[in-house]
Amino acid sequence: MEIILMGRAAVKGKAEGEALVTRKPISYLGEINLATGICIQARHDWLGKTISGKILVYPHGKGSSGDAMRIWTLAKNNKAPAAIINNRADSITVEGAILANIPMVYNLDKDPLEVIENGDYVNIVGNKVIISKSMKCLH
Amino acid sequence: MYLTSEEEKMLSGEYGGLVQESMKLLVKIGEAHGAERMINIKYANTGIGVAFMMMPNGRQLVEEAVKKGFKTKVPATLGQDLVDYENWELMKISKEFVTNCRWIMEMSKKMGMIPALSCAPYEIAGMDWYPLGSSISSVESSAVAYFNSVMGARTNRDFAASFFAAVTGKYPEFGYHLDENRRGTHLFETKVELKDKTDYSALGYYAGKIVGLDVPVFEGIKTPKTDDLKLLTASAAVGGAVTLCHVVGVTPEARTSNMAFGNDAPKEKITVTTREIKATYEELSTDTEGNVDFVWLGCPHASIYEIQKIAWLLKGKKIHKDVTLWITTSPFTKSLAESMGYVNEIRHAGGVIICGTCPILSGGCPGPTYAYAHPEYSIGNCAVDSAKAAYYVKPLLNASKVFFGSMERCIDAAITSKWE
Repeated sequence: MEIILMGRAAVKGKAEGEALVTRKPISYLGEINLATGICIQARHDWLGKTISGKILVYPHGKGSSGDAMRIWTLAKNNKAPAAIINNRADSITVEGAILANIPMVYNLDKDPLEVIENGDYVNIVGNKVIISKSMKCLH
Repeated sequence: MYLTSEEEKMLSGEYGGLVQESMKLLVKIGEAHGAERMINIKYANTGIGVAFMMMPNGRQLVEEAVKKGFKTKVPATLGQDLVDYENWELMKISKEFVTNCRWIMEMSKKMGMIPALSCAPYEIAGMDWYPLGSSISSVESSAVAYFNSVMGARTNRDFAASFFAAVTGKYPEFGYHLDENRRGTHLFETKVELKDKTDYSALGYYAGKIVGLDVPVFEGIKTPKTDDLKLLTASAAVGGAVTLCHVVGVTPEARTSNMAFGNDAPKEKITVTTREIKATYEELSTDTEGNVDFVWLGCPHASIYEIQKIAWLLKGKKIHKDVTLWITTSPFTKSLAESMGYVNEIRHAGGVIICGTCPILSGGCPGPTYAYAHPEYSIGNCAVDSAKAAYYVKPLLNASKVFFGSMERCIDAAITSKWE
């Protein structure tokens, strides 16, 4: 099953990968080990999971303004997410995505947190998000 | 995006590579947010370090500009650093790292940036004069929230963008520069007596978690001090991405509740009682009792009055031999504390004043880069009096236990090595 959502591209680009979804906002300073790309925040449901190469789906960024640099640092360390999908665009996340050239889409025509689930395969082309539902969701 | 002929000239390279690259990136940021034009800003709180790291050819562009005598277009301050230039050995920062940071600072000074070296530059370096409602651009989530909420300036949460804004005097018009985004969204009826800045910190974190990217309005807060508002805004920016909040009867855009909400009804009303504040203390603490290894005060950077209070609390006392006490502040505030004799008094009691940086930014140990690379490292059990510090010490410094409580409780813990 394929679902297509349209949004606004903060950074236009192409990306694909497995979705990693959370309803909690992300602070890259508080949540992610920049050397490994693994979530280190005990309060977060991504704890122990890697964000590298994933299509991240979360409401918006929060916390430290230095997260712009931390997103860039993840890219430099080859640990960056493949793309970022947000409900709303925090200016810090946008800066980081622009400087690290990571495709980022927000303001989608449907709430991505309702549509996309962990493990779905997501393709991003510009402002278009194509979601292939993972097998577990079909039965 | 519409650009004036002057802005077009910046973009075409007429004013050199640094201005050109900065303008290019500002246009990209503006387009990402749907901005229609650029606005002139009055002040920037920033750092050129970001340019060296993140801009294509940034280092070369800055060097060229400095050689030609380039100055920032607007008054600018240099935010917090990654080292304390006096205590770097104690902080286990390498000499090479210090040399690099010092060079970046010297280059910043050559561009006219005032080295506040603080996450709370508003407390020390001023901003030059500007009228209420002026657009500025600032790094540091806590400073952003304070500039917007308490000082009535207008800034988004910026990082590298604040450097591009300092260089060009321009910023794309979106977000909190626009009236419609500055209205309150959630009403927090505060029916609890906030005893100290740590209570304000708990309230800020609690509200931030609820509002996310929106604008909380606090009603019922009587006579906060600047340090209370510093903790309130800083913690709201950790619980959520709070860029602006209003305190009715206190902050400039909220003389009344109606004014704060722009005559609209709040999206949500939340009543805050002792229960919510207590629950936030519990959420941010991992344990209620235990040994304490490290006490960190001064997040955001301590004001001279906070240092005064610490010095007075420590009078005639000694820090426990197994406990490290760090108080973080700006170099400017430290020099005031020195002239008051507080630095010596605190040192005599066994504490250290670290300036210009803090454990979660430090390029040494404790510091996040060290902790990322050494998963076995831990700062130990850590006591703090700020929700922001409480949120970050566990993931960034591998703290085993986190104790979040008042400055008095933290000082007690530093003396007894126990959290009770």
